[in-house]
Amino acid sequence: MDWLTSFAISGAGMKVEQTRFNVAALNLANANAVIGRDGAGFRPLSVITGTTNYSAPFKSYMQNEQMLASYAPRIQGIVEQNVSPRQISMPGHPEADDKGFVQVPGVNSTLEMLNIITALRAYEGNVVAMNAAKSMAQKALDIGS
Amino acid sequence: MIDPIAAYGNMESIGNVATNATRSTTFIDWMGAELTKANGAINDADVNLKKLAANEPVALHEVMLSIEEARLQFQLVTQVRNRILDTYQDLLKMQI
Repeated sequence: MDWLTSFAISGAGMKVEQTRFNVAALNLANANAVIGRDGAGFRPLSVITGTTNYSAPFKSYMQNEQMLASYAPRIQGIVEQNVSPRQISMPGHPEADDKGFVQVPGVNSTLEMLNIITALRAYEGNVVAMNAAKSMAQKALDIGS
Repeated sequence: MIDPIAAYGNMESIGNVATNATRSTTFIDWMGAELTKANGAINDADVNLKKLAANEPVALHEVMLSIEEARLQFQLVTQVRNRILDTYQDLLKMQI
């Protein structure tokens, strides 16, 4: 049915926002996880989102409603942020280098908190849109009664 | 040169179109299809709920979306059934 398109679009949005939230939470959780001297360890991640359908021109979906769902967002990939690790002076640490520094991921806590809040608000927006679609469908079922 | 008289087009295909038009989907076909859809949606929601209860990794919003889909699909079938039943009772009460 037609409202399934609305559900699919909102569901795709919720999935994307949940992934963005998870990645931001993962970055925060790993903010103080020490990177070993061999460089093995966590690097801050960020989410790349895109549309499912790049090929069709934008105006074509104005003529074909079925194509709307194919423009729903999706996760294109999760990539490492291009930031250098932070140096912390911890002379007694087993992974410390000659000068007594250990490396921790260069997580920008402020940015990650911002990402969490925007993901939360966008998720709420998707829920509101989905509820509105459901209300519209239910109102349509009320026609004539 | 003048062509000999021949049948215009393919009469058989025209006949097929006519019969197809008369036996195009009846209401009962539509109702059956919608009921099957509603049943499938309820089954999907049930499967998702069981997954959630079994602590399998399934997105919460997908479970809720499938439940709402099932509910709407079932409401559509119920509303159509109500309308049809009303009409049927109107017909029954008709004085002849």
